[in-house]
Amino acid sequence: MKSNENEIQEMVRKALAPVNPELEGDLWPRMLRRLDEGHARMSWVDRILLLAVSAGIIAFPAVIPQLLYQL
Amino acid sequence: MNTHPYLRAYLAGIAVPTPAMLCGLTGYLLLRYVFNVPVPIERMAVFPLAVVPNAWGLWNVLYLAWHERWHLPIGAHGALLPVILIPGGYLLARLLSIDFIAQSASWMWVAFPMALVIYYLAWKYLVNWCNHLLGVAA
Repeated sequence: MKSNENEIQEMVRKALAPVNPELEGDLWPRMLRRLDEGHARMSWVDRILLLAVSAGIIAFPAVIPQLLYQL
Repeated sequence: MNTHPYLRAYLAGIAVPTPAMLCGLTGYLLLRYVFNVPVPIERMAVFPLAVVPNAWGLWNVLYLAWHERWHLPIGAHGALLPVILIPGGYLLARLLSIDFIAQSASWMWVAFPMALVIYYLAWKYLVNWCNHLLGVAA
């Protein structure tokens, strides 16, 4: 009976991955790296679209409340 | 970060409109209480406060769910959202008698393409960045 329990304990120990309760070092540098990785450069088509929308808002300021309400 | 992908997608989705909504609401509050423009702020705030951020979050959940099957770029996926939101917002404006929105429906035809472009850019750059940060999708 005792050997059975030991066997089960050994099997459970093998089946479960060891848990590390300590942090693996400072997480903030990893967070900063991830923030830097995410930057995508804006293509020229997207820049033109942005300029067109800005020009449209300046040309038709009456759409501003509509846009603020809808967006 | 492999657990709860849909919850992370929802959070990444609402992360963009929530601060933008604060700016818009501040603008309306200034108009209403500083410059005394008669804007029905209480009724008007329902759509941008309650509907829009949740719609962004749920739309990003749908992006994650559909991404494997449809391979639609995130910018195009985001640009489809105003197709639902703008008629919905207009309908709610009519139901709640928000006159300055409901009566200026003619401006909708100018605002609609602008909204498509704004959503396309916001989703392609901002939501995509939030997704990357939270480890959502590819």
